[in-house]
Amino acid sequence: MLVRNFFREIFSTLPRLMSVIIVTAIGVFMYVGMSGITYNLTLVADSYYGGQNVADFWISGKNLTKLEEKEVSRLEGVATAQARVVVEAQPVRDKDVTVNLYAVSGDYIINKPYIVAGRLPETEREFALFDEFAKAHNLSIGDTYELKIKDTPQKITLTVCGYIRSPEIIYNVSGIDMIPNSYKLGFAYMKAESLQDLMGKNIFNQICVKLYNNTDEAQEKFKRDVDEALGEKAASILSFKDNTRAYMLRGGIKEMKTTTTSLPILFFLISALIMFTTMSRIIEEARMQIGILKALGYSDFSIFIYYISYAQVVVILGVLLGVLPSGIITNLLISIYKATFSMPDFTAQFSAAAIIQVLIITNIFCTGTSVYICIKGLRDMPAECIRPKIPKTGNKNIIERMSVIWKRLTFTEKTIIRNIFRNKMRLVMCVAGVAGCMTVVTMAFGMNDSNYKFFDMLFEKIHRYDLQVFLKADTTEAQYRRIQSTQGITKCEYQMDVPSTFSFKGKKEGSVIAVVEDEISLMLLDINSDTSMKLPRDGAVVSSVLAKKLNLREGDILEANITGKNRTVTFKVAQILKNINGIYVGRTVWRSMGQEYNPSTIYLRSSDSGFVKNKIEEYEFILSAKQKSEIVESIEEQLKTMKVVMTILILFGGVLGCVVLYNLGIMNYFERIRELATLMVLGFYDNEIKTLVLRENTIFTILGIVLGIPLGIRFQAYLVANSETAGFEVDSYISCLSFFIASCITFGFSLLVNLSLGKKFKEIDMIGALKSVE
Amino acid sequence: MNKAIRVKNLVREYIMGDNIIKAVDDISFDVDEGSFVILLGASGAGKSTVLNILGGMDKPTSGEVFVAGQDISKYNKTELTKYRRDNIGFVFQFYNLMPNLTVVENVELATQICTNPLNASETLRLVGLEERENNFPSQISGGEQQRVAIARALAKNPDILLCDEPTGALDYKTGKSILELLARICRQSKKTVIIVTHNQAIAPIGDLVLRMKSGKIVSIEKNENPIPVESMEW
Ligand SMILES: Nc1ncnc2c1ncn2[C@@H]1O[C@H](COP(=O)(O)OP(=O)(O)OP(=O)(O)O)[C@@H](O)[C@H]1O
Ligand SMILES: [Mg+2]
Repeated sequence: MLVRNFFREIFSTLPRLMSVIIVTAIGVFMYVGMSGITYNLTLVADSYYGGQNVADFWISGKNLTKLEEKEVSRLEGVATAQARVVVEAQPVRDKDVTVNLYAVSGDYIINKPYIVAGRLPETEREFALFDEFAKAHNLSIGDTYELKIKDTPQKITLTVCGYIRSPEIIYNVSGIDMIPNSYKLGFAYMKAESLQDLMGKNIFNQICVKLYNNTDEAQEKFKRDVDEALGEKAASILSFKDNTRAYMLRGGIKEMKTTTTSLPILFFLISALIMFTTMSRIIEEARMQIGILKALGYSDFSIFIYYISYAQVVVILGVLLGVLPSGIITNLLISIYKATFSMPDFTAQFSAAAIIQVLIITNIFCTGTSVYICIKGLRDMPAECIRPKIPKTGNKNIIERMSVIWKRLTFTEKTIIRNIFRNKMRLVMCVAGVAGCMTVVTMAFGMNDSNYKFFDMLFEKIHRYDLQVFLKADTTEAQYRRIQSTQGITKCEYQMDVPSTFSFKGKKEGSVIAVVEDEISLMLLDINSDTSMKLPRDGAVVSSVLAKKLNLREGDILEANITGKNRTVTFKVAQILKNINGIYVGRTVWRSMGQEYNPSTIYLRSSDSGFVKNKIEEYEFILSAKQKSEIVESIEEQLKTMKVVMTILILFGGVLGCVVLYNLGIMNYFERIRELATLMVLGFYDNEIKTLVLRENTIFTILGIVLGIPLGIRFQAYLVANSETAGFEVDSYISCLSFFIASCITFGFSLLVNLSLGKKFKEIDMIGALKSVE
Repeated sequence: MNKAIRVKNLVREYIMGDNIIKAVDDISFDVDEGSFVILLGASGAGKSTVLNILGGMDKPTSGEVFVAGQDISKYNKTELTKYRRDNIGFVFQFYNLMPNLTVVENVELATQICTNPLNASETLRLVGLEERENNFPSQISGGEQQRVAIARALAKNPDILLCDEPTGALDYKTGKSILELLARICRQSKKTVIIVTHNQAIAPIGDLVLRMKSGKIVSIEKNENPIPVESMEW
């Protein structure tokens, strides 16, 4: 009998039960879906980096031999070292395209290519090509491809033996472009013998190194050891973390972590609150039933089980309905990552940990609530339960006490205010729900605004050049002069980037020293400087991000170890600025420290940058030249990802807010159905009843919006502070228009709820509602 | 005398799956203006159904119901609402007060929508509750709550006061005082009052006593000399 009653009860509480299930499902959906992103990407990153044995260090130098390879592999902490040849090549006809060739003698031990199709090269006439590049160039396995080694007359012709991807080139960018381009940029793995003519037998120019333990100390020690062992032979040492093309995936996951953890928690919190209130309300109402069951002689235990099963319906259905589609959101965001990163294809899996967490939390809130209420009910005597709960005596609310205001209100307004204050829990829940919705929507807009504002500011106030030119290493004085004297250039400023490890009071952080002109005007550092800026004569300008990480203050002395040079320089921190990366020093300061100065970046101003660009690109010592508009475009491309995230947030934030309002609205409706019927009998028109009952929702919405705005600002600031965009400190900013739109969206959602609740009024059966005792 | 209510061949059926339940089965009766009507019958006889139709809360399956000359059985939803608003005062067994409005506000709730209402406080004085005006329903007794419900129905200044088991939830003494109040209202303000009850003992106090059984009216009894409520015993 109890079983039959169970199903009846589920049926009779269906609307509310459904809405708790939906709220639970949304919370679960966001939680499992969002955490699924980091989970899956981490899973893939771990297995990809690990399985293909990605290097911890790349040591570059000229004329490296097996001897150096052995020397490095004998260093303390080194697991393996493998020497290889790395050269740039280009198709004979297409000068715009670059193919990086990686050649080893023997098998690949470190940075093993991941085979997409075909096989790895077995003879010196074969090579395995990056699959996306091959696709872009219509190259099939078995096709031959003729390449010219850059800066030499040498040409080689090879047969494609397989399609591959590489763990060291997950983010296929050249270091200048910010957007992967698999037409212009490719890579291939081959036998060292293929390049023997070029390099000489058993001559290499890079050693990849894998450490046993990749800790910070081990890395520092390794760098020192290499400097000692190889000396000048090692021109540079690149660590995994500094190797953008390899590290980007790992770094991306890290950057995203704050967003993908804090957001779903926010969502889940709101749904947990709803679970708590609705469950407690439903079971609270079943008090009488508990009494009847007890009076009939059912044991406490079976009553207990009864209500736990009831809660389990919510938990199981909610979790199931949330988990099943959560793959959508995971896959949607992962697909953005898949488009930018080349890694092995994979299908997203559910994170067992996330599902368990979700089960635990929903059980705490759903089952926990019903157990709590049930125990409270069971403690009472059966007789007490059967009697309807004595309604609370009406207390005067705050507004009522302010009799000046209270007297002025119309009757309807008084009634509405009374109702709002009657159920404070509902007031709190509704306002929290709407505020949550508003927070999420505001934040979504804020993310967009902050980034756009930041980039606008960056390109307006900081990037004042028309053309950015990258030079090859070892550019000579004469060549510098040649660029400078190119027709059409009105201004020209040089910059040298020196990758270094900074240390201060035991803390270490890798970044870049940018050596710039003593007075700069094309690439400014401070949004507040108008046309030019003089660099400090007694020290360096440090980015606020770096300063924060190292705990630096103005006046501190910072030590920098130049990567691959085993040289240490010290700077006084003269100024700390936001919106820059790494540290900046004037070239006089740099020279005065006895350091060599050969800049590799030039900023140019020209009235016709397109013409200058074409001209400059003809010089053989130019790596690339980019117009400002091209750089702006590529950044805007990056911001698209964010738009997707934003849309998802607005959608689900809205849906959540809707469900909260609807849920509480319907609860209100059922609780007050008797009152509504009474109003109908008294002859109130539908519209008048709607005003009386639904005006509340409107008030809750307004309160929620008002509260949601500061919450949105705080949350947005938190998110921005915890996820630096490309190493910059972005100011949190939300435009007035965004507030307006966010408010409109939230309000729109609440209107939608009112509309659907209004429809319900037509269904009220006056006679039925008034017949029974409450 | 004018007929306040004319009911002609009224039928109300409920369709329950394959069964048709005739809750009201072809009844006809007239009620004079200002009379005190008692509608008697056992549980399930169809009394509430008749009252609900008279009150514009339900529509007949067939038949005609004239109230003040108008056939309300032809009214649509909005017209019925207007009819309830202006012509009808309803009192239930369970008082159905708004729990979060004070006594006087509960009455005002009704008066604010009417075209020609009585003063709320005065009406409360009439039912003897002027002292409890600012209490909430949960702070007063059941009998007092029923008085508030009557005041609320009355304050609308309706033509007809319909009471479904108004004493059903009350003890003997309180119930009697409620009936006394209703009788007084009927006599003093010349309103038509219909009281539904299954209590035979109440019959002698009515001007008109209708007895129902299984959806049919079995007797219509005019009482030229109704006894005063005080002398009634049950
Ligand atoms: N909504 C409904 N659906 C189906 N049958 C109904 C419905 N309402 C009433 N009935 C039936 O109509 C008949 C008359 O009901 P009604 O409520 O008018 O009786 P009553 O005389 O008021 O009884 P009581 O004194 O118990 O209130 C009953 O047999 C009842 O089962
Ligand atoms: Mg009845």
